[in-house]
This record gives sequence, C-alpha cells and structure tokens, in this order.
Amino acid sequence: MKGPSAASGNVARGQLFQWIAVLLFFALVPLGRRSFFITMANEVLIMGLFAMAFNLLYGVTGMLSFGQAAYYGAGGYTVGLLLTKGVLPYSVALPLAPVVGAALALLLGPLCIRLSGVYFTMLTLAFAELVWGVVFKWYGFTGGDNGIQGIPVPEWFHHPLHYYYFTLAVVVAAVAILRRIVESPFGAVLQSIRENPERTAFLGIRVRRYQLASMVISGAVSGLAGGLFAGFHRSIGPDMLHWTKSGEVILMSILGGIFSFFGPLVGAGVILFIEDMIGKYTEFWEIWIGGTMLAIVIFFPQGVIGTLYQWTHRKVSRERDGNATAHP
Amino acid sequence: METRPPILEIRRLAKAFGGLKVTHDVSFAVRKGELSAIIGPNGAGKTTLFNLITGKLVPDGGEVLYKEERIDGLHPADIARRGIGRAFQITSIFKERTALENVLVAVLARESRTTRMIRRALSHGPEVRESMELLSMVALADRANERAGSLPHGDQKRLDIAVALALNPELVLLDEPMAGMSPEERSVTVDLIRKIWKEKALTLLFIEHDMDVVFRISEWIRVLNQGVLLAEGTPDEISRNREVITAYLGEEIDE
Repeated sequence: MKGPSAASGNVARGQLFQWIAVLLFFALVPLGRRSFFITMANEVLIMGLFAMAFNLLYGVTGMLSFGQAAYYGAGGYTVGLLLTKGVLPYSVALPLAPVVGAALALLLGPLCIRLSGVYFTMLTLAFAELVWGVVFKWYGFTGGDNGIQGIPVPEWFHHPLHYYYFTLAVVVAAVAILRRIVESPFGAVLQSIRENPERTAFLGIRVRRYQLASMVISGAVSGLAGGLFAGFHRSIGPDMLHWTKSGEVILMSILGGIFSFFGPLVGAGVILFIEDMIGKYTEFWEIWIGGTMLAIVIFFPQGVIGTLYQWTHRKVSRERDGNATAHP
Repeated sequence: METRPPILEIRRLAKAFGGLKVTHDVSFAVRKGELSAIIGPNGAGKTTLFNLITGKLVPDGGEVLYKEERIDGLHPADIARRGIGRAFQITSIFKERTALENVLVAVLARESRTTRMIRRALSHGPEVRESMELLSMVALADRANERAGSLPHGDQKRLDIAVALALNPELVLLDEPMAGMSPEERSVTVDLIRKIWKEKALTLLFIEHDMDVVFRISEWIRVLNQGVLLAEGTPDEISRNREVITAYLGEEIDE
C-alpha cells in the first residue's frame, strides 16, 4: 500500500525543485548587468503575481474572471493617489493596495457570483469596465486619461536593481502565501468547487461563500501587484484597469498552464519577452503573440508547464508501474 | 421492526415538472437503522424523491421530516450537515483530485476545518488517517494517490460512497450504487454495502434495478410507480403483491 505520506513527500520534493528553479532564475537575472533585462524581469514578476492571483480564481476555483484589471488598477491607484497627494508614505501605501483590492472584491464579488459560467465572466467584465469608466472620466481625482505621473517613491527605489530585489522579495512572499492557501483545507474546497460545485454543496459547504472568499483573496493579491507596478513605473494610467489588461492575465495563465502553480508566471515571462524583445524590432509583435498562442494550443494543450509536467509525470508513472510489476 | 422510531418521515410529498407529476402524494416513514430499497420502473420518480429529501429540489407540497424536524426547502449544505449523506446515480466525484483528496475534503468539511488556510490539507494527520480508513472500507486504499477520474467505473462508484460516508451520516441515500458494474463488482459491492451498514449502524436507503440484489439484502422495499407509492413491505410481501407484479415485477422476476 502506498501511504499518503509517500505521496506528500513526492509533492514536497517536486515543489522544492520548482521553487529553487524560479528563485535561481530571478536571482541570476541581475548578473547580466543589463538594466533592460532587470526591468523586464521586474515586469515579469509583477505581471506573474497578477496572473497567479487571477489563476486562483480560474485554475483553482474554476471561475473565469474577465475583470481582474479592476483590482490591479485599484491597487495601483491606491499607491499613486496616496503618494502624489502626500497623504501617506510608500511603506504604508503599498500594504494598503491589497486591502483596497480586497475591499473592491468584497463589494463587486457578491454581485458577480450570483451567476456562474460565462454569465459570471460577463458580469466581471461589466463591473470592471464600470470601474475603468469612473477612473477614466474623473479628471479631478484620478487624472482621467492622463493618469498620474511622477509618483514620489523613496529615492532608494529609483535604482532599478533596488526595486527589482524589493519586488522579488514581495512576490516570493505573496506567492508562498498563495501556495499555502491552495494546499490548505480551504484550497481543497476551492478545487472541489472547480471540479464539481454541486457535490461540494452536498458536503455541507456553502459554495458561494468560498467563491467570494476566493475573489477577495485574488482581488487582494491583484491589488498588491498593482501597487508594486505603481512604485516600479512611477506613472500609471487608466490602461491598468482596461479590459485588455484582464485579457493579458488570462492569456498568460492559459499559455503557462492553469493547472500548474507556476504556470501563470511562466506565461507572463513568455508574453512579456515577446512584447519587449520582438517589439524592439517590429511593431507587429502581436503576430508573434498570436503565433505563439497557436503553437501552445496545438503542442501544449495543458499550457507550457502543464504539458511538460504531464510528459515527465507519465514517464515517471510508467517506470513506477514497471517496477511494481517487477517487484509485486 | 415496527417499534423502531422513524428517522425520516415523508408526508404527502408532491413535485411536478410542468404538468408532469413526478412525485404525487407520497408518504412513508423510514425507521432508524433499516436497510431498505426503493424500486420502480424508469421515470417512477425515484431519483426525484432523493433530490427532494436532500434539498436539490424544493417540493411543491408536503413535508420532509428528519429526526422530527422539517428539512424540506433547506439548502443542500444544511441538510448534509444534519447527517444525510448521498451518493449519486451518475457518479459525482472530484475527477482531477486523487481518491484520498476526494474523501479528505469531505472529512475536513464535516469537521468544519475548511476555513483553515495555513496548514496543508495533507498534513492534517488524523483526518488523513480517517480518510484512508474510509478508502480501505470501500477497498480503495491502494489507489489512494491515483487521480479519481482515471479509476475504473466500479472504483469511482465506491469512491462516491466513501465520500458520502466521510460526513459521518446517520442516513445514507445511495442512488443505483451498482449501476454499470460487472457481476463480480456487484457482488463485492453488495457485501460491502451490507458490511458498512452494519458496522456504522446506518439507516440506508438505496435505489436499485437489480432485483436479485434488492430482494437479497433489503429488510424493507418500497415500490414507486408514476410518482405514486404503489406498495411497501418486506421482500416477501412485495414479491406476492398482485399490484406490484402487474405494474412492474412481472416480467423481471421470472426472466
């Protein structure tokens, strides 16, 4: 009999490997001594965190939100407004970004989860567009389509490498928390809801409460990513809340693999790499994104990481089965 | 047998879909600890009856009492928490999760541990051990770490039962627990169900089309036909009931 502890041991080892690979990669980027790559890696970390927050809803809980940009933008504008209006320092404003993201999700979530499937998706899009509309039109407060420029982040952060390490630390901490949540009893319920919401209810669980909780956590982490972006770029605009931003994280997650934990991060890396690198040589970089998407869908139906995992896993289980028959 | 108190009482229950009366004035009482079958031709309203008891459907009229309290119209989650477990006709499990995770989430739900966000679900030792015990009870312990959706059909059906049992229910409703199983799997599952019923002192109600099984293990049989409770009684009484024979059993009993 294969005990459950053996399985969790395997899982833990696989996870450790993933963590080491991710950390090593991002720690080694600055060695290239090219600020271009540091900036790109910084963007990848921020968008990767945002995509993982989105994927808590989609890949884990099974709710496809097309409006996560609202929470990302809420976090960004929290930092931008508090700093430019001189209300609070960055050290207080940034922690408030996830709080505002969560609060917005707590407000909009109950309205969205009334419906499920594609209707839920349409509601998330509709409310996010509403938030975007407010930010876009409210010149007196948000700066309208001009956005906010020159966000006064402390001097120390102006050095790309400093901000990069700061982002890395925050993102690693947030991702570690997300991972714990996914594997906790609460996360087990979220995954049960994704698989079979009706059966989950028959376990005595109020499905909608957990769906709302998932939206709030995702909103908080999206807000944190938005806050990090505001400090990184030091100028923000309503495009942070635009539906194309919501679409970007969907694309990144699917590309990387929605059922693999680090998939969205890898997807963010691939898309931003294409945008930045190929964007330098041609204005038609979107064709490359389209082409990559096509290739991924055909050759990596589970996303890059998901399909790679499946390949290695299949190999391992074949070997294990072989051993099992050899030594019964 | 008649002296045992009822754990579940159905009173003049009614449900219609459009003009079709799928449950029509059905009343009966289930005594605590009984192992009983509900039989009837396709479309007799058997699954609808289970749906009305477990809160998936809200009745148009009548009452459902569980331990002398009305539960009709309650949310399925609340009814489950009161101690009514259910396995489904069309196997209803969490396919992308392992067999162990399927049962574990039910155990954690029963213990109201599912708001915990820090410790891993699989690090909850006592709950994992209990889940493993439940899996061995349905002969699935050696497949604990396999993806539930990749298990053979019969194993999935038994996993469904294990998930229902994980809630520590007093009343268990099994909707065609042996549907689609091979004869060997059937006989294994029959023994299993009877064993579980005895060991856990359950009240067990099952819907089944296999008359051999029904007459072999049931203490009591209820016959539904076109939404109406046609008859109820011991297997002996039912097999001699004229009405039942003409309506339903006739062709099946002497194949």
